[in-house]
Amino acid sequence: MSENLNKLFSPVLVIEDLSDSTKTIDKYDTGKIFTLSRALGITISLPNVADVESGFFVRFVVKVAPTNGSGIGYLINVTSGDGDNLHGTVVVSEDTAGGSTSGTATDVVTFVKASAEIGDFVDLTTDGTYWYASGHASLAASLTYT
Amino acid sequence: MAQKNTNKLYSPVAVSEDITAAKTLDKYDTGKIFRLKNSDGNGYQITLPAVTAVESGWFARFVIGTPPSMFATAYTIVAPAAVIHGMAIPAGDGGGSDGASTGGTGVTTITLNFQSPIGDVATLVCDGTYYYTSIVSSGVAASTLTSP
Repeated sequence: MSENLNKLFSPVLVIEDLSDSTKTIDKYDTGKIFTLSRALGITISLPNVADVESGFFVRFVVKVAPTNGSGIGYLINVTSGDGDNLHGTVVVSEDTAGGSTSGTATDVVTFVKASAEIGDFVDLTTDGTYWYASGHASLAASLTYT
Repeated sequence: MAQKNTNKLYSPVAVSEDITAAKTLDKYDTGKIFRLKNSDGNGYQITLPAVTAVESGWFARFVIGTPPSMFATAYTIVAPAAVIHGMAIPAGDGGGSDGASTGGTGVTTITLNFQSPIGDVATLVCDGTYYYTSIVSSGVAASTLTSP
């Protein structure tokens, strides 16, 4: 039965590729996975938590490593107007500690140029008060919250 | 309140399926949680569909249900081309060793070996170009990402 339902509905995630220098996310982007495909980097703006439904969530995945020396990396800004309100952690595969906001809110998620690799990702969700970030990366230096 | 009622209406659950022998997945397996089980200690190969054979957004999760035995065949999750990118996050201290990572070069094979206890998990998402994987494993040597 469940097999037939799966064939009927075939759930897939909505994936949107980003290759322009800037992107503004809005409340209708909830549930999407954004792949990041610009070696020079992208500046992404998230909405204020008050402007989205509680439960809004997105994922950002590195598809093109931000390797260009003059680039900026991938910056995900949550500074739109509601201050520092992002909490979260980064876990990494290399044998060193990942990052953590450790209870102090931040406002920028960065996939660092010349460090972030294809497949590194961060999940962001909000409860209407904070943004919660959960990042997975190969290298500890690849993904920061500042 | 409305959200809770909506959740009751749709009651989202994932389709869960036990695998006990080698299996080839197809585009209709998207969204499933596969439990990897065996009765003789030996793992087996799970073959992924080509990235061009699935819809962008295809995803699946593989959870160790029965660990393979030491010196026995491991579980492998194999793509038809070197298009798997990602990393394995060990839960414990690596003790000087890094977890597996593709390091920017795609691979064909995820291996979950005898050091993978029940509950270790590999998640895959396909965007039509790559499979992105994140493996959460108990030990640093429990999984590898390679192109044998």
